[in-house]
Amino acid sequence: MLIAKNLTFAYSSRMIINDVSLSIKSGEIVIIIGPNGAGKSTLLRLLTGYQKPSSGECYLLDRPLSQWPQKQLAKTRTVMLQQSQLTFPFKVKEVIAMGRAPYGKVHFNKAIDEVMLQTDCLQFAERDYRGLSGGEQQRVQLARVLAQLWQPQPSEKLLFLDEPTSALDLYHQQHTLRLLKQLAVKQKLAVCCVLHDLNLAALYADKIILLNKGKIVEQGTPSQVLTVENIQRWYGVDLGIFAHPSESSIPQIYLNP
Amino acid sequence: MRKSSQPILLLGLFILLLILMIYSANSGALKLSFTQLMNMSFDDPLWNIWCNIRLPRIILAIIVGMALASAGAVMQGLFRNPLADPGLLGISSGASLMVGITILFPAVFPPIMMLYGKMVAAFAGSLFICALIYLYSLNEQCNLAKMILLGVAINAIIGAVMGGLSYISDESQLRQISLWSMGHLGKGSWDLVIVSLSLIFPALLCLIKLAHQLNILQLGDEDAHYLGINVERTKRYLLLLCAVLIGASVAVSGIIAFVGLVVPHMIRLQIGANHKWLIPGSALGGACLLLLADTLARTLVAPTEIPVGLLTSLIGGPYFLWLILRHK
Repeated sequence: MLIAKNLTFAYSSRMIINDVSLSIKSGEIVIIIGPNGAGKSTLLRLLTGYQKPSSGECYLLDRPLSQWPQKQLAKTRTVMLQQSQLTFPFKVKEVIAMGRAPYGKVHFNKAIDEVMLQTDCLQFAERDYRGLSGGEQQRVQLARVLAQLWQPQPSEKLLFLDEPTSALDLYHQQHTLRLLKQLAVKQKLAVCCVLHDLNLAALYADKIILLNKGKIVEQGTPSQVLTVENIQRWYGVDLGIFAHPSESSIPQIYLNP
Repeated sequence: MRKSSQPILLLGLFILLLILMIYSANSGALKLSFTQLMNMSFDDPLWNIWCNIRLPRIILAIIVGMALASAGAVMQGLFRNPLADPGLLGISSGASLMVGITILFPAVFPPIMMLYGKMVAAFAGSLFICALIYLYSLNEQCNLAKMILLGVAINAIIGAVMGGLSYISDESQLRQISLWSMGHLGKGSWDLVIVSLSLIFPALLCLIKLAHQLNILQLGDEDAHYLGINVERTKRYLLLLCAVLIGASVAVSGIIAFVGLVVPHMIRLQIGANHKWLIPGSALGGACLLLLADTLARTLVAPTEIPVGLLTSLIGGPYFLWLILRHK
């Protein structure tokens, strides 16, 4: 669905993204991991089309990203950022409704009701967004981006998320990633997600991309990427890995004390 | 808040405005009640006073109040800060400087063109300051505190230039300039109503049409971009419309401070932050406030009058202080 070819991005002569090529298929969850400052957020901005690469090109559904009309692009891919602050007293429901902006009134109520149910936002629909906790705000933002991609029939759409679970409690971490998995499988959604929690990544990723200093250093299934040597080498941590007790193909990481 | 309450609040404001209009039309230095007027023939000079002095002034107060308050609401939304105000940011003084220059060095045009001339000059002034602020806001280290300091600097510089202009002006020009800088609506005439309406009304309609985009800009530039909004173009367009509104109202009435700050803030508390309702609500609220202030300005110390800008500053200044102390 999305193919990136030789993306490079330099900022004031510093190479932030260096010759990155990758592909994201519909129905697939791709998780980008990497140590701090690896260029994950910048890579996301190149893949979403917010920033233009210094060289290289992204193709969304075989069409260069730069040639997509903005409105149509907004109906096909969306992005959930780490944080979205509001200054003024918007209600949660109003914030979620902004996700339907590219569509006007089409399927408005149905889409909003469904995503609020999916993201467990119904209980604070009428509250002031600014009064919510960080985790609740993240759920509202997730609802907003899901509303932006909501569709009556499954079709190919692309969802980017930058650390969507950073402020969520354990229950909502699981809930969110299960929801993403389910949407990927049933709705042909392609999901590309930056995560710090490697165990969470291992549980849900179809493909993990390990980024370091602007380059892809490893990519593949969780069990291919999450090995003791790889993590030690790129993160510099002292750790061990065991197979998940109920799903032996899923590696789980523990830190040595 | 329930869904239906927003139209009801707008309707309430509209009814309040109608009541204020009737009250205002009934009071003034000259006691002219409707019953008195009804008993007189149309060629009576009192009818003339009512039709050609009082009525246009009332309508002018409404138009200017609408322009100032809705421009304030939009600027606050644009900079995502409740303290953004055309006066504080120096936009009004930019417009007033240009008006000052046209008072001192009047170009010779036919009368109706003259009115537009002043408008165009004021618009150029406000647009220039808007552009300055916009360019500054693209700077990554920009925040509202710095922007308001920029406004302080702009206000100081323009204040000095205005001082210089008053110094070289003759007696009648001096009087005009000083009235202008305090803000007054005493020059109300139908010509002025038509000219200002022809600029302010379309600009207001455009703002209401852009309310949806302004809402989405509240999420931040990057989020708005992902929702398919052309962020830079929308912002430029909104600023341009604000410059038209502020320029036109300064050209008509001089600097009337704090309407653009106080009204949107009060309306937002009642009606919520959705600009689809906030902009028309602020327009109606601004009309009410300025009409009330102007009516008080011309009746409190009748037969003379207080410049209305002094009154709005007297109300708005303390409110602003409260806002800062509370906002932290």
